[in-house]
Amino acid sequence: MNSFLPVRLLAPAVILLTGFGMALAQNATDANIRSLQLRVRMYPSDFKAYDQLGAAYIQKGRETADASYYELAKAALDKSLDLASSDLAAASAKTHMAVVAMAEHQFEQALSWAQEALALGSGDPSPWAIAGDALTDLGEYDRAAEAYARLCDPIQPESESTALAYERESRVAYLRFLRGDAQGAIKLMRDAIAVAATVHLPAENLAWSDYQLGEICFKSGDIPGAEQAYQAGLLIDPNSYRNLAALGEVRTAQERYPEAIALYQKALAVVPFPAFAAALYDLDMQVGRPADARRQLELIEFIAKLNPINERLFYRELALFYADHGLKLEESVGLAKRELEVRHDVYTWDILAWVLYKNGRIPEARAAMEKALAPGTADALLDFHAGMIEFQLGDLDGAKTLLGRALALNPHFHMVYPGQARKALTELATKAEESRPPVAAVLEGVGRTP
Amino acid sequence: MFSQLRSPWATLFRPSGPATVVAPTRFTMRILIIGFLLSLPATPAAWGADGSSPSPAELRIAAAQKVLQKQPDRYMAYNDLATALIRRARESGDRSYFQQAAAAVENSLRLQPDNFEAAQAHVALLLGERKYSEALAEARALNHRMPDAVLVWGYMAEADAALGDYDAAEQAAQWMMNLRPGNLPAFVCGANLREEWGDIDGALDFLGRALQQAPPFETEETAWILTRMAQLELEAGQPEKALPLLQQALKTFPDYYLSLEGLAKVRMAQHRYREAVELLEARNRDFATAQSRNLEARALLLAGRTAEAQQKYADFERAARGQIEQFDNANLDLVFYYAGPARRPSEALRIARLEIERRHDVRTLDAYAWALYVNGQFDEARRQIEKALEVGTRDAELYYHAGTIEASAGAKSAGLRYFQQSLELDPGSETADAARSALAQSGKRSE
Repeated sequence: MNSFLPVRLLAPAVILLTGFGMALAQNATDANIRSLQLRVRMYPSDFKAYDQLGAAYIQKGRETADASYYELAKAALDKSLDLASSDLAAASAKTHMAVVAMAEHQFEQALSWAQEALALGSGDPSPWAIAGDALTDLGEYDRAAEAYARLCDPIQPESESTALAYERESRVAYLRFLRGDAQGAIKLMRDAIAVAATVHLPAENLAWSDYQLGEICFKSGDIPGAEQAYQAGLLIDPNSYRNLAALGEVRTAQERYPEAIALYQKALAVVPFPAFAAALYDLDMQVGRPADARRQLELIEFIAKLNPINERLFYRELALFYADHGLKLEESVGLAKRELEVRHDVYTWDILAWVLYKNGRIPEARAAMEKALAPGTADALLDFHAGMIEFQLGDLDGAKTLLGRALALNPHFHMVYPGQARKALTELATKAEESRPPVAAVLEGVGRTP
Repeated sequence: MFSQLRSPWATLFRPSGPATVVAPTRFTMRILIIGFLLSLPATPAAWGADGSSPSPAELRIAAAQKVLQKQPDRYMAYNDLATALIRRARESGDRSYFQQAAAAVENSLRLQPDNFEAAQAHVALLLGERKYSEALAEARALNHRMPDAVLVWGYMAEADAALGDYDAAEQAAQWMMNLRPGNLPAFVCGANLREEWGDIDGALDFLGRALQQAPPFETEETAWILTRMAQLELEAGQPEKALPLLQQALKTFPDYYLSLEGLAKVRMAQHRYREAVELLEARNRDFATAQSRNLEARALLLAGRTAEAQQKYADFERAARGQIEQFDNANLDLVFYYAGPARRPSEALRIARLEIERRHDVRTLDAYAWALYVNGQFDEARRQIEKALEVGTRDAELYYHAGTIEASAGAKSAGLRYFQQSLELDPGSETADAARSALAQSGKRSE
């Protein structure tokens, strides 16, 4: 599930900006789009209507995961900015442009649009959220924290019970997690959820918050805590595909595979994300359904290469999938490197390290892994990847520490890898035993010590 | 009707009580400002800007030009270019950017006649060129076309205030705040008005909020706000509080001419004239204005470098006289120069009359009253200075002028009160010694 991390950052951005919120059913979004299309036809110089239409397309893109809606959004927002770009009201369209750029994984552009929106001084601090999100994906965590700190009400900066406080806390929670403070992140996320309920945020936002809380719990090894959060999210929004898939991951960890398969299938029916199909591939293989697994494989490649935008969106997912399954290994390096061109966060470095490792390029893998580990993120999968790299490099102590840490942090961090970690640790113990000098030699050595 | 538009979270309101009533607000604001300054990134480079990198306006100019290279018919890019050029004029002090901005507006309107943003940029241009009446007329027309365009309300407020219609300015500024709560231009506009009304604490409060709104990569904007805050501290006779603000401004936007000028004023207030001269020499190296030459001349004089001061005064006079008939002029400086060191009272009054025909803001009323006074027209001088004082502006020099004029017109006790107020407001102002002397004379007489 870690491949979803960047996408989830988009969610609160849209909460802030679309205005009509996430609670709308798909049909309501369609109706809204139709009504706004009519409005811009009737009033072709109404820049606000074009902006709202752009926002509606973004919402539609989120609901369907159909990236072509982002192109429509861009066209509408372009038109809005053609009509008005220097008035304070243009901050909204510029911020929506930033949201589109985030959705399309154009993080530098997203930052640039958010900065343009902020430069207008409109009094709306929400572009800081997108600026922070873009900086997070660019791996600039200190600057991201600075940006999030600016998410305050300009009239009542001390107010802690506002949607802005929620936006800030939920994002800072993720930053804390990345910096290794999982407990602090969980606490902050719970506070944010309490604020979200107080200010009556739309159901999809609440469900998203529960999902993020669950993710942090899961990565910290608190499986019951994760399950509780995902269930809470599904109670609020039964179609929350992230919570469906995440609960599937919990069921996988609990070895309740048929339930896990059903949950992933449900999530996939809502939104066709390659990562969901990848999880199903693993589950189908696990329960001995190779034909079904093959179909998932075809689906993954079909979705990921459906159009140029999708290709860009799923570089990382595809690279990880190929590396994990020993498929198209050379191509997986190319994909990870292309991702690194636009994104420099912990998980992009991690995936690059992992695909390099799988390609036998171990020293390069270690260099990339060092970057992934630099912020101190407590994530068992990162430790596992790092441990396996150290193992190959012959740093037995390093490997032992990292693999041991991965299992201690979350013994269910993956369907297959915890077993591999245990096996590697056993091998390490054997090697240590073999390399230990005989007792007599040790005693001799002691005797020689001055 | 207007009072209904005021919202509970931020109204401009004119202060009704004495300044001390709002002292706690000022204290709170100090803490907020200091806290915020501490939270500013240590180096602006953290957000992609430093002394050597292009300024925010230069980046925007380059971006607009890049678009125009690819799409020469894109009128919006000309609007973006015009807006960026106007901002660059403020950033650099080079007023030739206004001409380039005018050309960009013209191109935009040629491609798309009557487009709103070009018209809006044109109003901004007129304000930059200090053509306030024209700007107001055009802004009103735009306001009629699009009543919720916040910046247009801001342009109206600026023009109204410059022309001396403070009630209209207040209404327009309040609309800015109500239409889009917390917007930065509204805070700046509100701060200007509060300053005119003598509510320095309130003005600092608004500028503090504007500062919190300014993103760190908008380095010039941040430095500009800090410099304005420093100016207010100076007006309140607090050079030691102005100093760190200006130092922060110069760190944020190195060599900023407005901050250098402000710092020079601080040094003058601290009687460190040699340093003031050095700062003004640096400030005047590029795009010196008649006003900044006048300031340098004064600093040289105070530093005891009389010959150089005379030379600089001559430079100032030459530059200022060349602009007398223009809108963008240094006429008020010229009035005080002729009324003071140059001893040409009739020329002072002639120029003051030219200016008062155009505008009736506090500064113009003060200059006109002083010109009348030096020409012996005490009663008329008194009428004009009282009009200036009615606005509520708290300024040591204005109070000193009021004291002198009132005393000359026979209102001795009123005169003494103004001298006292001038000293209370800023015991280190340039007119402080004269005020003290006037009070001492009066004391001797009463003995």
